[in-house]
Amino acid sequence: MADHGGHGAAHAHEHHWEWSYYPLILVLGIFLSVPVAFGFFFQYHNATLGIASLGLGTPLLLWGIAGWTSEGIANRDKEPGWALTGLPFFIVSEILIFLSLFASYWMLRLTADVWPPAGTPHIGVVLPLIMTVILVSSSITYHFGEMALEEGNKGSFNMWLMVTMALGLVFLGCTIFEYNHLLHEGFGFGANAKSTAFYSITGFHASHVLVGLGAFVCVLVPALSGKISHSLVKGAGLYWHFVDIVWFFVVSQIYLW
Amino acid sequence: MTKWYAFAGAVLGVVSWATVAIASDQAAADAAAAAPAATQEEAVAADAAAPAADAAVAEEGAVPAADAAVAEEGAAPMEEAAVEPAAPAVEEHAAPAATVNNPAEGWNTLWHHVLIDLYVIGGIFALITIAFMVTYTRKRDDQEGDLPPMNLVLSLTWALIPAFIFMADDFYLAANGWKLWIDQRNVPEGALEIKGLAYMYEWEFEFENGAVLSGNESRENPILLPVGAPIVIRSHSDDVVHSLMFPDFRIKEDVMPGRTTFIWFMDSAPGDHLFTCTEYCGVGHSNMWGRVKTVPATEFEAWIAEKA
Amino acid sequence: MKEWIFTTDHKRIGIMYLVGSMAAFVVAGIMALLIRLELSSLGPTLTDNATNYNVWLYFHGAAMILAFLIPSLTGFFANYLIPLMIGAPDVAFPRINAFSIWLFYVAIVLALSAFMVPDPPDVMWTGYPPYSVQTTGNTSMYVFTVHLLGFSSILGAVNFLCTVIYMRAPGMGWNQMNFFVWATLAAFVIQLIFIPVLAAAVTLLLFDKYFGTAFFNPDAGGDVLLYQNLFWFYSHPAVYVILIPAVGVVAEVMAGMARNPIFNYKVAVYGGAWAIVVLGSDVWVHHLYTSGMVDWLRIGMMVTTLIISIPVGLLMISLVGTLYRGSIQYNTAMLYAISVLFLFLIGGLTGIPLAMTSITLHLAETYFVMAHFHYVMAVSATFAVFSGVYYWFPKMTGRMANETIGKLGFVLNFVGINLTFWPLFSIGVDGMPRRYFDYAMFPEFEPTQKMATMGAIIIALSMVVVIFNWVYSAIAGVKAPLNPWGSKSMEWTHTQSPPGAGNFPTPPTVSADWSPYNYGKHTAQTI
Repeated sequence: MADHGGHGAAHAHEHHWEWSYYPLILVLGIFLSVPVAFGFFFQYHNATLGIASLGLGTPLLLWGIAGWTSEGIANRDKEPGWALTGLPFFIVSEILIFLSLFASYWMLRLTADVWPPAGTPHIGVVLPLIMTVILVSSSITYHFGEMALEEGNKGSFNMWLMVTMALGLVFLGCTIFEYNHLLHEGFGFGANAKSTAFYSITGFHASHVLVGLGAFVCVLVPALSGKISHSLVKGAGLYWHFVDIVWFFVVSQIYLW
Repeated sequence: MTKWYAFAGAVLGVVSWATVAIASDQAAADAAAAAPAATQEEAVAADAAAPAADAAVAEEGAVPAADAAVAEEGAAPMEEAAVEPAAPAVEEHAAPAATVNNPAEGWNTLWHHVLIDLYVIGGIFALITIAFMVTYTRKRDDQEGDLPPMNLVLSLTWALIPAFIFMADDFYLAANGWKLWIDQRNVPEGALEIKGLAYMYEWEFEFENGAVLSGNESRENPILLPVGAPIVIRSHSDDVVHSLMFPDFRIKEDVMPGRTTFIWFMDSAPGDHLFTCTEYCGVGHSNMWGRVKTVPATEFEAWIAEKA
Repeated sequence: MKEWIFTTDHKRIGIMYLVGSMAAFVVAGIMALLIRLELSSLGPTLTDNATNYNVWLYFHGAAMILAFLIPSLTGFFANYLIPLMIGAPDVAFPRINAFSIWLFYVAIVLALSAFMVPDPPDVMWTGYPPYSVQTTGNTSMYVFTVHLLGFSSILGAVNFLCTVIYMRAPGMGWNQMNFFVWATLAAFVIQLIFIPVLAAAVTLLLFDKYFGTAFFNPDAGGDVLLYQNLFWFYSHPAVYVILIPAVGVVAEVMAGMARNPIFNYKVAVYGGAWAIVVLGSDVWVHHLYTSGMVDWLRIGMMVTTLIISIPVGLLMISLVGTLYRGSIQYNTAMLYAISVLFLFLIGGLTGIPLAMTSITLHLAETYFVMAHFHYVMAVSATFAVFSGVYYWFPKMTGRMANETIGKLGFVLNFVGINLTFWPLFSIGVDGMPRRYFDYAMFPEFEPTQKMATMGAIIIALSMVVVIFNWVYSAIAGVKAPLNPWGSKSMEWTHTQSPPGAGNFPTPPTVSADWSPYNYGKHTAQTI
C-alpha cells in the first residue's frame, strides 16, 4: 500500500501554486440558486427576488461545472484514477441518505393503523415496472458504451451514451407524467402519510437521476469533440448504476409493498 | 522499566478496586438506611390511609427495625406523620401496603455515590498528571524523553487492565442506575392520576374529579397535592414539544403532540415546589412555570372538591 | 492575490479554514457574551424581546459547533497538517478541497445573515419539530446551513480518506503515521457515514415546513420523535468528530513538547479512536432519555453510553502516559495542551452521571448538561485548537508566537472559563433549565449567574489578547528556526517554514524504523 506515494511525487517537482476559478464559481452558483432562491420563494414569498437569484445562480452553476469539467479533461493525462476510490466513499454517504428516508418511511408505515391511509388514490404498478425496465436497460446500454470505448470505438461510445441519456430522460418523463396524474387526483404532497413518503422518496430518487444525467452531459459534450476522460466515464457510470440499484428498493418498498 | 509498569498498574488497580468497594459499601449502608426509611414512608402512607390505631402499630413496627442513625434522620417526618389525623376519604390515593421507594430520595442517594466515584477517578488521574508535570520538566535544552519501549504484552496489559476496571465501574453504575430507574418508571398502584396538557405557553392539569387548574395561575395560588401519596401526571401537548420538570422531585419528561408521557413522584414532607418547562418551545419558553404545595391529604381533598 | 483566492493548495485552504472558523468563533463568542449579559440579572437586561435572545442562542450553538469546532479541527488542522505529516505534495483532489472551503464560507454567510433578515431562524441548533415547522422564523436558513456544511464535510472526508490511502510517503506504513492523522481519519469516517442522516433529517424538516408533508406531524400519522432520533444519530457522533481530532492535536503537542512517543500508540489508535467510531454509533438515545422513548431502549443505551468511557479512558491514559519520563517544556502550546487533560477530565467525568438514565431524568436540559458539554467542547476542544495553533504557528507563518502575551492570554482564558462554567454545575443540579431568557422562578440563582457573566467577560478579554498575539506575531514575531521544538515529525524535519508550493523540496521517503515519535532510542517498533 505504501508504494502508492510514488504517484504524488510526480507533482512535487512543479514548484508553483495551483489554483482554479471554478470551485468558487460553482459554489456561488449553488448558493444563489438553491438556499437563497428557496428562501425568497418559500419563506418570504418574493418571486421577483427568487427569480433574480435563480437567474444569477443558474448560469454561474453551469459555468462552474463546464469550466471544472474542461479543466479536468485537460489534465486527464495526469489523472491518477483515485476518483474511482473517492466516488464509492461518496456513494456510501448517499446510501445513508436513502436509508434515512426509508427508515422514516418504515416508521410512518409501521406505526399507522391503516395503510394506505384514507385519501390515497390507486397508484398503479405497471408504470413503475416499465420505468424499471427503462432504467435497467439504460445501465446496460451504458455498459455497452464502456465496452466500445475499451475497444477504442469513440463513435460507438457516443451513440450508446446518447441512448442511455435518452432512456434517462424518458424515465424522468414517466415520473413527471405520474406526478401530474396523481396531483390531478388531489393527492398533493401533504395529503397524508403515504403522499409524504411517496413524493419524498421517488422525488429524491428522481433528483439523483437528474444529477446522473448532468454527469453524462459532462461526459458527452467533450466526447463529441473526441476528448474522453476515462475516470469521468467510469465515475459517471458508477453513479448511474448506483441510482439504478436504488430504484429497485424504491419500487419494492413504495409501489409493490 | 517493566517493574515500574507492573507497580503502577497494581496501584491503579488497587485504588480503583478500593473506589468501587468503598462506593458499593456506601451503597450498602445507604440501602440499609433507605430500607427503614421506606418502611417509614409506608408508615406515613398507611397512617394517612388507615385508622390511627393501625398507624401507631406501623410506626412502632418501623422504629425498632431502624438503627440509631436512621431514627435520627427519620425522626422529623415521622413525628409530623404521627400528628396528622387519619382521613378515610383518601384511601384511594394512598400507597398500597407494598413498599414504595421515593424516587427523589433514591436519586439523591445515587447522585452522592456517583459523585464519590467521579472524585476518586478524577483525583487519581489529576494527581498522577500533576506528579508527572512536576517531575519530568526539561533539564537541558537538547534533552529528549525517555519513555520505556513498548511491546505487545505491555501494550495489551495497559489496555486490558484499565478497560476492565472502567468496565467494572460502568456496570456498577449501570446496575444502580437501573435499580433507581425501576422505581422511577413503575407507577405505584393507586397513585393520584392527573392529566396534564401543555400548549404555548401554559400548563393545564385536570384532576380525577374534573377540576382543571392553570399553571400560570398557580404562581400566586399554588396547586395543592397530597403529601405522602404517589402522584402520576400523564401529559400530552397541543402544539410543540414541551417538557414537564419538577426540580425538587428529580424528574422530568418531554410532553409532545401525538404521544402521552408520564412522570410520577411523591413528597415525604409538606412543602412548596415548582414546576417548569425544560424543552425549548419558543418565545415564552421561560415563562411556562408554576407552583405546587404538598399538604396533608385531608386538606388536599377539601381543596380539590371545592375546585371541581 | 489570484493564487490566494482561487487557490487549490491545501496549506492556503487550511489557513482560510482557520480564518473563517475564527471569524465564526468571534461572532458566536459575542453572542455568548450577549447571552451571559442578558442572564446576569433577573428580568430583561439587554433586550425586552425574548426572540432576540433566542436568535443569539441559535447562532451561538449552530456556529460554534458547525462553523467553528468542526471546520477548525477537521478543516484547518486536517488540511494544513495531513499532507505535511504523511509526506504528500497536496491532497488527492485539490479542486474539491477548494470547493469544500467555499461551501463552508457561503454557509457562514448564510448563517450570519440571520441577523439581517426578517423572521430570523429561532430553532436552536437542534431545530426540533413541531416548533421548527410551526414557527414563523426562517427555518430554511438553518436547514441550508446544515446542508452546505454537511456537503463540505462529506467531500472533505472523501478527499482525505483518498489522500491518506494513496499519498503516504513511500515506505510509510499505517502504524508509522502521526496519531493526529489517525484521529482525523476516524473523524472523517464518522462524517462520511453519519452526516447524511442529519442531512436527511433537516431535509424532511424542509419538506414538512414548506411543502406540507407529514413526517413530524402526528395529526397526519407522523411522529415528532423521528426527527430527534435522526438528528442525534448524527449529532452525538458529531461530538466525537470534534473530540477525536482534538485529542489528536493535544497528543501531538504533548509528544512534541515532552519529546516522548505517545504512550501506547497502537492502543490509542485502535482501542481509543476507532473504538469510539464503532461504539459512538450506538449511544444517541442518551440525548432522548427524557423524550418519551420506550424504556428498554433507554436502559440499553445507558449501558452502551457508559461503555464509551473505556476508549475515552484509554485515550486519557495515553495522554497522561506521554508525560512519563518526558522532557517537558512549558510554553503556551503545552500549557493549553496540558490544561486540556484537567478540563477534559471534568467534562468527561460529568458525562458519566449524564449517561445514567435515572440520573439524567433530573439533569437533562439543565445547566448541568450545559456546563458538561461546554467543558468538553467550549473548553477542552477549543483549548486543543489554541494549543495546536500555537504549536504550528512557526510552521504556518515562519515566525514564533510571542510567549509572554501568549501565557497572559492562557491564564486569563483558563481563569475565565472555569469561573464561567464551574458554578453552572451547581445551579444545574438545583434545577436551572437551559435556554431560558429569564429565570423569575429561581431568583436565588442570580449571584451565580452574575459570577458566570464575569467569567465570560474575562474570556472575552483573553480572546482579545490571544487574537492580538496571533496577528501581531504573524507580522512582527521573531523569525522561527527550522525546527523550534526539536520534533521528529515530518512536517518539521523535511521541509521549511512555511512550506512552499508542493510542500517538500525533495519528495520524502521513509524507512521501516522511522516514526514521527523517534525520540531518544525509540524506533517505529518500540512505540
